Amino acid sequence: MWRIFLCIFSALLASGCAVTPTPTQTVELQKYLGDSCYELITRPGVANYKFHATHFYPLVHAYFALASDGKDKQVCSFTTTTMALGRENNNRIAALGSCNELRTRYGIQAPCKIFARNYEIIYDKTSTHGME
Amino acid sequence: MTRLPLMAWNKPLLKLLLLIFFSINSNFVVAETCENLKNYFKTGLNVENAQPKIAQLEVLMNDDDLCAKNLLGQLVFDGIYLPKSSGYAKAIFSDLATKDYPPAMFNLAFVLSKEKDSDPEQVTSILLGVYAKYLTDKTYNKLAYRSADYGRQYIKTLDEPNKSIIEKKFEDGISATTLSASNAIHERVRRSNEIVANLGKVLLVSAAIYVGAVVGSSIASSGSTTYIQNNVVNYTPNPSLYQIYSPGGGQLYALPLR
Repeated sequence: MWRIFLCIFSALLASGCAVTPTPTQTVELQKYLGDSCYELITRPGVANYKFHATHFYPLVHAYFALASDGKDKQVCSFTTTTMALGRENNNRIAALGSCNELRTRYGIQAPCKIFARNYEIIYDKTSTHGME
Repeated sequence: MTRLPLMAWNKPLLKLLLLIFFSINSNFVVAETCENLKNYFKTGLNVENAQPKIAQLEVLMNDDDLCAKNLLGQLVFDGIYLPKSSGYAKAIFSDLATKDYPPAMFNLAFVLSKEKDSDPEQVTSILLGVYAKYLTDKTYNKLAYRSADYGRQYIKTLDEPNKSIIEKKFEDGISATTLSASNAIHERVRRSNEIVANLGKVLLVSAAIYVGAVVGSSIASSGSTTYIQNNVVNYTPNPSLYQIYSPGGGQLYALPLR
C-alpha cells in the first residue's frame, strides 16, 4: 500500500499534474496585486508559494492572504504546505496570521483576507447569503 | 451422502438475516436526516409533499435534534410552510445559541441584522464570538470564516459614525483572534521541528509534524477561547424573546399551525 502511495506522490511531484496559473488567472492576479505581491505569488523556488501551490496539489492546498488599501499599499503572505500538515485549516490561519502581523506593522487599514487557494482566487468570492 | 447446497442448508438462518436486513433497511428509508430535510426545504418547494416532511421534522425535534430545531427557526423566519415570525425564529435561535449550537449563533446574528432597530454592536459581537470560538474547530471553521465575511458585509450597510467605530472593533477582534491561533500553530511547528531534529530520521519527519499538528491545534483552540472570554462581549439572550411567540401552550419547539 505504501508503495502505491509513494509512487503516486513521486509522480505528482515530478509530473505534469502540477497546476500552474492559467493566462486568465495571471490577468486576474495582476488586476488585484501590486508588483511586490505579484512577485511573491509567482516567484519560483522550493521555499516559495508557487512550488507549494502547484506541486502539492491536490494533496494539500496552499493559501495566500492579502490586505489591500489599493495596489500601492498592500501586504501579503502565504504559508507553505509543510506548515500544517494534517489540517488544511491551519494553513489558512497561518497565512492570515502572518498577513495580520504585516498589516499592523505597515499601518494598512483594510482587513486581511484569503486571496487565493493555490491559484484559485477567492478574494471577492465569499458566500454571505442565507442562514446556516 | 449428498451434500445439501449451502443456501438450502442455511435457509432458516438466511431468512433471519434477510428479515433483520429489511427491518433495518426500512428504518433507513423512513427516517429522514436533518440534512436531507434541510436540502428538501431549500430546494424542493412542493407544498403537496411538505406535510410528511414537516411531520418528520417534528419527530427529530422531539428527539432533541438541534439541527432540526435550527431548521424550524429558518422555516419560521422565511415563512416556508409555516407562519412567518421573526420573533419566534429569534427565540429559537437564542435558545439554541445558549446550548452552544454554532449555526444557531450565526442565524441569531443574521436575524438581528435584518431588524431595523437592532443594535449593530450586538450583531457584530455575536459574529465575532463565533469567529473566535470556532476558527480552529475541525467541524465549524467554515462557519467562523462565514461569520467574519457576513460581519464585514453587515458593517458596510451601517451609517457613520457608528460604522467606523464598530468596524475597527470588529477588525481588531478578528485580527487578534487570528494572530493568537496563528502563533499557536507556529509554536507547535517549531516544537515539531525540534523533535524531528533530535530524532534525526527522515521517515519520522512527517509523523512528528502530524503529531505536532494535533497538539498545536488544541493550543490554538485554547488561545482563541481565552481571547473570547477577555475581549468579546458575549451575547446574553434576552428572556423576553421567549415570550414573544408561544405556538403550543408555551412550548418553544411546538410547530405553529398554518
